[in-house]
Amino acid sequence: MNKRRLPILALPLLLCFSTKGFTQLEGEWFLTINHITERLGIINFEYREGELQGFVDGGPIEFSFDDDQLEMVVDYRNGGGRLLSRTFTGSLAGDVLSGTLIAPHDDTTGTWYASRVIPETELPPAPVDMSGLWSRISAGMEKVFLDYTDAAQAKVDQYSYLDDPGLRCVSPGLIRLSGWPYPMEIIQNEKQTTILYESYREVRRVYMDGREAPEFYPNSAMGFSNGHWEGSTLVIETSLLKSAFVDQAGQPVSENARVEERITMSEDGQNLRSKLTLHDPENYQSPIIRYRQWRKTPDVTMMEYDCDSYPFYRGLEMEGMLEEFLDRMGEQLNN
Amino acid sequence: MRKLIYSLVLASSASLAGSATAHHSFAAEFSYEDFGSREGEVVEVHFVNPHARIFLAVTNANGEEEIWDAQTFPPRNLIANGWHRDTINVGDRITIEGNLGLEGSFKLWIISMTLEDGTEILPNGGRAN
Repeated sequence: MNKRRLPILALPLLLCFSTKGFTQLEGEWFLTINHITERLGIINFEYREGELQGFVDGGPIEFSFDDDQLEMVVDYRNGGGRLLSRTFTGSLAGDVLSGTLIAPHDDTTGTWYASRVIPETELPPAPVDMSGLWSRISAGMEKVFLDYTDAAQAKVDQYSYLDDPGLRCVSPGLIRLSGWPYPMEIIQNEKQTTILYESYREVRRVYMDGREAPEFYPNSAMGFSNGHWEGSTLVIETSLLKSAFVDQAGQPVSENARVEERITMSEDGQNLRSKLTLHDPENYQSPIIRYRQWRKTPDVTMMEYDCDSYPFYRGLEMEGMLEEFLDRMGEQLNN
Repeated sequence: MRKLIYSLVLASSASLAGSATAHHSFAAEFSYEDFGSREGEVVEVHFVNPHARIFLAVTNANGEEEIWDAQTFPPRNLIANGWHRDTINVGDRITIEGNLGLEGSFKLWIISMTLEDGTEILPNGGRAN
């Protein structure tokens, strides 16, 4: 418990734990919420050291469960980066959890629904055409507090916004960029799926021919990606990432991290959904999950990402922080 | 005793919440609660990613000049909200309202801008962070 940072509104729930019926909750649940936009996530209840613990998208939550009534508080950040929480109340009926949620910050409400995750059966490849221009609809639950290792907690504690490479026009990396609210274009052929992101002009080449990365292939912001089809799901495995962050709160991603994306298209071809799983045991005790959703927007025109780092440095200089920034970068390069 | 426990919970809650918000770039630079408005002359305008930025020369109550650093969303958002490359130029007098920088820094996160001809621009539809 001491390794986890919990949201402010979760604390009162510590007082109302009950063990009755906990085994009914154990396992993974696929969560859909309708709050401002539809968002998807994974709830996981698992026993650790004899105690049932709750997680959303790999980050710890506090919850109470009594007489089939569940209450849980899940932290998130909004588009402006503000730390907020949603309080979920609902009930268990058979293999379904459902109820209502409230975001106390602005009194907005919504509904939620969760069904047990059914293990996927292996399917022969059945590629679908995902080519075209897509605009993001939502980026999942945006859970802030994650299941940190001690090393990761120390990194989070030391993080400063000065460490954000995006502010100086350097790509923020696969996990953050794939959730950015700007368009992407997909171009497909049998050997390669190419994803062009407007943000930071990133280009991903996802090799579908099973090739391996050449010797000494450098780590990079978007890594080295192999793809294959499981039924009509495009599965992308990525490694050789540069150190980066999951989010703007400084949750670290190590160079040894592995990312799996499972991308599916809706039957009408108008929506894409990706379940991104970050496996990074150096930093997290549970894999971190992010669900992204996009809508097909053929009428949107991609823009060049005209980025200039001068205003950032000028602002630091005006504030008297330029030297601190340079010292900080120097220290990080030497470690 | 009840009062003491309540105080402890508050203290620990504040430190936990702070550990996340203080590290986010917006939360590390701007207040979510304090807002302000400054009128002045544009000395630099940067219609670029990752954030559009305006440096504004403002005369304070003592008659001294301060340079304010105002920033907001990237060009894709701004074009959709009535601000394109030629909308604001060096030398223009404008009024910027927004979230104030922390610790008395001369910073603003732009919520609205009013041009000399009265045109109002809302980079995020008028919503505050």
